[in-house]
Amino acid sequence: KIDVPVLLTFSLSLLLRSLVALHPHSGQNNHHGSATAYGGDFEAQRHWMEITFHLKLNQWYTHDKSYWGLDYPPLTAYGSYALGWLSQVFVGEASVALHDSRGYFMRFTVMLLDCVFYFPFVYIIMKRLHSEQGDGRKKFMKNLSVGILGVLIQPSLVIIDHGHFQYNSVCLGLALGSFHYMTLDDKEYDKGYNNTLGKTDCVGFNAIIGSVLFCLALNWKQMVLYYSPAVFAYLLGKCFRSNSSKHRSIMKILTQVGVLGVTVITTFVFMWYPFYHYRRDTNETMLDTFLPIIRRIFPFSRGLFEGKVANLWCVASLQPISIRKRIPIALQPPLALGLTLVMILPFCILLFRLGQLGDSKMVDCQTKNISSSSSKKQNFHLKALLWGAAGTSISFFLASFQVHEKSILLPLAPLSMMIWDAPVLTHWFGIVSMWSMWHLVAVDRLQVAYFCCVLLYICYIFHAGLTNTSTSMDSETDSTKWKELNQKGQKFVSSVIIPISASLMIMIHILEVFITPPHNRPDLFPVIFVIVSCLSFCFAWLAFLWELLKIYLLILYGDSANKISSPTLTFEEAEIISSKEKHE
Amino acid sequence: MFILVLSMIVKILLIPSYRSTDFDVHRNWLAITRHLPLSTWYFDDVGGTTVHTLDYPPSFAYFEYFLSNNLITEFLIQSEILNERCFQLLGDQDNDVGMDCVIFQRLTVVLVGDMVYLWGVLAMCQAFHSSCQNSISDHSLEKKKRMVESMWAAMILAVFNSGLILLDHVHFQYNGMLLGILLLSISFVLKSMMTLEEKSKTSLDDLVLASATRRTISTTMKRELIGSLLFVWLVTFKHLYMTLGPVYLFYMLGRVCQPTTRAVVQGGVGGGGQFSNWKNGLQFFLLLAISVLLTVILPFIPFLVSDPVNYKRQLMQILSRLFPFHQRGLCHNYWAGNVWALYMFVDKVCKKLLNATEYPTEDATLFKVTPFIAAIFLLFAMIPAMICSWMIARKPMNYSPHQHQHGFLYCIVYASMTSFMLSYHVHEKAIMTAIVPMIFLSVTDRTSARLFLRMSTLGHFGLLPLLYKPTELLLKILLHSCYLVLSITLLEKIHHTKSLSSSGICSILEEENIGSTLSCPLPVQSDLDTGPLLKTWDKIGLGIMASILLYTESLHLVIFGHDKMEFLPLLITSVFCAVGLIMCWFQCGLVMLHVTLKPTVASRYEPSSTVQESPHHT
Repeated sequence: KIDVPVLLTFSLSLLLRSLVALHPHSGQNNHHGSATAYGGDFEAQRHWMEITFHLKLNQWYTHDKSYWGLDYPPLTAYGSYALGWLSQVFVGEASVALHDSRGYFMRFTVMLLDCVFYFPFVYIIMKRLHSEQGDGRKKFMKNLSVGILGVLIQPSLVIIDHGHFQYNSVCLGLALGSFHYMTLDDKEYDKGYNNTLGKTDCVGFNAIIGSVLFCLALNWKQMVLYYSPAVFAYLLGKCFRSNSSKHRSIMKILTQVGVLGVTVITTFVFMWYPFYHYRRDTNETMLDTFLPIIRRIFPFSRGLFEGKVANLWCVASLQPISIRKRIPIALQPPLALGLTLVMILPFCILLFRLGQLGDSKMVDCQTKNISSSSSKKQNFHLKALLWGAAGTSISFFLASFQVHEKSILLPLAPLSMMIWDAPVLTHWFGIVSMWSMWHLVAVDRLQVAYFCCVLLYICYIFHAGLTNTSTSMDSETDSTKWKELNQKGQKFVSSVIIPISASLMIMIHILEVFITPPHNRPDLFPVIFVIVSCLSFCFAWLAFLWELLKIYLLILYGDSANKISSPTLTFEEAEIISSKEKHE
Repeated sequence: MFILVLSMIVKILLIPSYRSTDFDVHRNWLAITRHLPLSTWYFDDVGGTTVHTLDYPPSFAYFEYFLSNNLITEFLIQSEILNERCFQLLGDQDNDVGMDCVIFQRLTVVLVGDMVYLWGVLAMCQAFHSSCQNSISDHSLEKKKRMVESMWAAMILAVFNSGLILLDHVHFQYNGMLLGILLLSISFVLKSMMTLEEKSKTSLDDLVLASATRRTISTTMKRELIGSLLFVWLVTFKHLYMTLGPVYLFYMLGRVCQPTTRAVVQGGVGGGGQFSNWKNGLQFFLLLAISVLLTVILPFIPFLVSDPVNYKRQLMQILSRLFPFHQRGLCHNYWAGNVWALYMFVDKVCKKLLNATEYPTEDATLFKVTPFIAAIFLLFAMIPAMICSWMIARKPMNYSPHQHQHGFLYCIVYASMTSFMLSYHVHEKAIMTAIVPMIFLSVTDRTSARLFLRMSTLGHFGLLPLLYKPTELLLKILLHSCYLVLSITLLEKIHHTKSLSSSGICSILEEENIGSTLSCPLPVQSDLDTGPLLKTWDKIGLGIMASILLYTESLHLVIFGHDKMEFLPLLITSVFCAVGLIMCWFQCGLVMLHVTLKPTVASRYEPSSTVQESPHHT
């Protein structure tokens, strides 16, 4: 049951979306680009509806690749087919005369998909994260809706999806949903096992649903791959989790991995098999069918980066360093991969450990019959997974191959769920990510919408008055030194880094209006934007790592109270100390 | 401040939305006032190529002149930010203008119109607020907080009024400005009532009294004068507001003829006060009459002077533009949801039933309503409002000022509802004149809140067909529903906290109040402070509304296709709105009578937004 404040939140954020939708979409009226290639993402999506609706399945990925050929994974193609069908029903045969309402119809589809895929999962996760604060119901709903509003009016997502025109909210919503299910422990199932067989199957039904959802997200947009290391590490950790040290058998681990693997493969087969089934030529092997599609989805031939992206490669390719010219093209992908791996590794390790740890916690809780704390622990897991996903995706953004500016939405989505835990960081990151896309927005003539949305968000920040009070975490940690360090860090962030970056952002905006760049450096300002936002994102990477570490340590500290009861913790205790030392 | 920024954001985001022909109308007026001499303003129609001729009273023409001939506009044109074409006289065939012009005109609405509106809203809030502060002898924090809260709610409801946003910022008009002036004028009248109150409060010492009375009376008069002048000025902006005139007229008459202005205060002392009071009254009346007449005539003078030989022709031309009875029918293209819409509906049905062959004829089968008949109906329906305002003005001032204020506001609301219901060729936009003052009543007690919810929901629903393009479909529905949900939440919150906080003495007091109101013969007040804001009937109404919306926007197309039975959705919408609004109208009239005539309870009953002024507390 959804209460009135939440309803109000949803409708307000829908209102904002429909307001933004009034503004021009990417490539409207051929504002940029040449006469031959019309439009941008909007036209691409529209064209895909045409392709999928009118052509046979085997031609979807091969039809006239030069004019907005389909280059998203199959689920997008199926989605386009469904939308094309809808459009056929409601708008009638797409014609030039109906272009106006057709444009409107496209906007409507984004809003519809937003409502179906993004809103509910945001609601579920926010409710779960919020449930720890046990206020009265009314206040609870109010706080909850304020938080949800903060998530839903994130300027970047609104502008990109409803202004620029893309369907990011679908894959983000699906991914968030998968995080939700993965971190749920199926208690009934577990209990049953505990009682009868004395062992726990950690990878239960919920994890399977989660991974199916994740695969769907992955099949909607390949970008979601940025989350996959986090998810993979966490689930793997969960597989290695054991009830107690006695039952840690390789067979069980293998079955669990196997179950998840089969799930993933089945989902993928469901998504991809139709293309093989309707293959053009009966002699075609699977490889022949799928390889061209995969090539279209992962265009490695396009180069290290495209345009001006605020990632490490782009910054390193600037004039004095110009790394792009010095490194041979063949070497670039592996190098990018290597750096990315290095950057995601800490997140993965932490998540793996967390996934493994969760179990001993569960036992403690079950023995002590503290169900509330068990749900809390699950929330920690959810939070950890969200932080981890944000971390891995920002690592990908900073270091991987062929990144687009819009990929910054990926770290933003899980991060914006943390609005109660790290409000300052979340708000700051929301604005920085929007700011980093300024030139993208300017090309689409969305400046008015940009300023309005950012202003609205700033209004929200000041009005909602969410301050940095992650009390629920700090209060549990015993070590005062640790507390001090944490507080110092937070103070440093909120008093030094954020004012500096805010003033920088405003200043650069003002400077761009008044100063015309010299002739030999026409893209001076885009470059400045790239440098500043890249630095900010690097900082964000550190901050994410820090937060994840915090949760990890917290769970370990939480253990210290119960360590007598669980013998397995001797090993982990050593790690606490070591990591503590690392910190200090 | 926060609200201001938010509303600005919403309005600026609306810039690229659909514009109605009213946009072209205003653009054309800008062009006329920029390029033509004064004498031809009301004659020009660009060689017969445009229908967008100037048909508002002179003050509005001056306003357009101001917009098209000020420094900023000149600067914008000089620096070529704004294209010259924006101000050229263009025929209807060829009146596409660039985005720059659109932005310019939209910004004038946002900046000029909304600033005036905001000013009016603030003035209203202040009038209510200070009256409450005066009447509370014990400034208990909680009460103050509650009051401030309700004022905030009124402000939010007023600023984000979805009907106004749709009309001004999508459809394009300057209603905000005009309503702002109306609110300012009302607020001055309300404040004048407050000084009456002050006077009766301060009446302790006879010596102090004499000077105090004189002073307060003069401030009262000044405020009343300003209020009525503002109103008259507003009429020269847009003559539709004329229908509120009787309320003002009778209120002022009542004030003038009030027999006991001082007698009540001075008690026995004021034996000789009668005469001086009468003299004062006459003076005041003369002053008022002269200044009002001057204000009315003044804007016309330049037009008459500009063409001294043929001033009669000039005047006739202006009047014919202002009152184009012969060109227009009983109802506007989109039937406003009023009595005549129902009448037309019945008429249509009769036609169908009686004789299908005579269908194409234009004449109604029932008797034809001429402007004259409509005016007579209107006058008759206006009578209660006149009586009420007269009585309010004459009421001795040991009543609380809220009583006066509420009564007067209800008179205004009722009068504008009446004019909406019965005037000739009403636009559905006219309902805003009733809804906006109603906002300020809605935060005071539950009955008003309920009435406001009904009125605003139905009234705004009637506005929706104005934006017929699919692009705005979702936008208008969302705006409407957001506003509905917002107002329900806010009003529930205000009235909820009230009932919660009423514990101890307050609750006893409220029980007393309820008991006393229950004893009243009128049923409308019986559910005071009880029950949810939305009753079963309202919910059913909402359900019907949603289904009508669904039908008009999608099902109709599916059933009939694009070009058959085009008028049917409009017809359903306006008939539905008409039925609902007529019910609101009656309810409004009843509440007005109730507030005015409440004989015994009045001294004790205080509309509950403001604070219970009780014998225990004072």
